[in-house]
Amino acid sequence: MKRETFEFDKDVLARELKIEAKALGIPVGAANAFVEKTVVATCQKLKKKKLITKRDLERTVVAELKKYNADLAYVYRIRDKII
Amino acid sequence: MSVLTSLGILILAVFACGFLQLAPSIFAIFYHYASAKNSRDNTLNLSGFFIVGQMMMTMVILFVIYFALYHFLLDNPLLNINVFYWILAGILALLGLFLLIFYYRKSEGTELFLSRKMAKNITGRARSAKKASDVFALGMTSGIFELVFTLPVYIVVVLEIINFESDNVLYQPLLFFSFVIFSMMSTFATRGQFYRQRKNLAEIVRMRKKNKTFYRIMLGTSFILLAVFIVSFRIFK
Repeated sequence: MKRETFEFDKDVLARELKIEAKALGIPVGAANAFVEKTVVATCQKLKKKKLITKRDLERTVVAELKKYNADLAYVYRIRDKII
Repeated sequence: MSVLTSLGILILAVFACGFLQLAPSIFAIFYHYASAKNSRDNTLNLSGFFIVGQMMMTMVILFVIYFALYHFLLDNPLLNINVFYWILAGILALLGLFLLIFYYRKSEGTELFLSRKMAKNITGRARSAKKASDVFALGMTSGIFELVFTLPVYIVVVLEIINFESDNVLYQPLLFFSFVIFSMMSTFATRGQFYRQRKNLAEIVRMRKKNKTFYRIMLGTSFILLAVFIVSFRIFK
C-alpha cells in the first residue's frame, strides 16, 4: 500500500491553529502569541527526528497547545474525527 | 385507537430520525469554521440555509415516497400490504441492530459508520462552505447520506399519513411538516447550543462523546420499537 506523504510547513500549521482559535472565540492577540509558541516548540521537538508521522506531529502540537488552551488542543485533536 | 396508534408510530419515527447524528455533526463543523470567517449574526443567517436545505431534501424525499406509494404501490392489486409491512419491519429491526452495534466507530471522537474517505470529503466541504448556496447544498446532502437509515422510516411515516383517519383536509400537510421539523431536532439543538448557549465545538463534541452510548441506544431501540409497533398494530391489528 502506498503511504501518503506530506511536507511539514510551520506557516500552514500556524494558520490552521489561528483559524481554529478564532472559531473558538479566543482573542486574536492571545491566540497569535500561544500559536507562535506552540509552533516553535513543536519544531524544536520534532527536528531531532528523521521521519515524522502525522500522528507524531499531532501529538506534539496537542501536548503544546494543552499548556495554553484545552479547548483548542481538543478541537485540533478531533478535527477529523467528528463525523 | 387508530389515530393514537398512528401518532405513536409517527412519534417513534421522529425519535428514529431525530437521534441520527450525521446532519448535526456536519452542521457543527460548518458552524465552527463559518464563525471564524463571519460575524456571529452572519454565521447564524448562513446556518439558516443549512436548515432550509436539510428541510427541503427531507420534504422532497417524503413527497417522492408519497407519490410512489400512492400512485404505484397501494393501488397495485398484486401487492399484499401485510407482506410489505413484514419486509419494512424486518428492515427496521435489522437497521436497529446495526445502529446498536456499528453506528459509532470505536475511536476517541464521535466517528460514525461512514467510510473514512467519505467522512473526510464531507468534513472538507463543511469546512470550506462560504456562500449561502454552498451551505444550502451542504444541508441538502446531509439529508442524503443517512438515507440508508431514514428511507424505511420515511416509508412508514408516509404510510401512516396516508392511512391517518381524519376528516380534516389539513392534517396531511400538517403531519408532514411537523414530522420534518421534529425530525431535525438535533440540528436545531446544535444551532441553539452554538448561538444561544454560546458553546464552542469542543464543548459540543465533548458532550456528544459523553452521550454516545445514550444516542446509540435511543436510535437502536427506536428502530426496533418501530418494527414491533408495525408488527403489532399494522400486521396483527
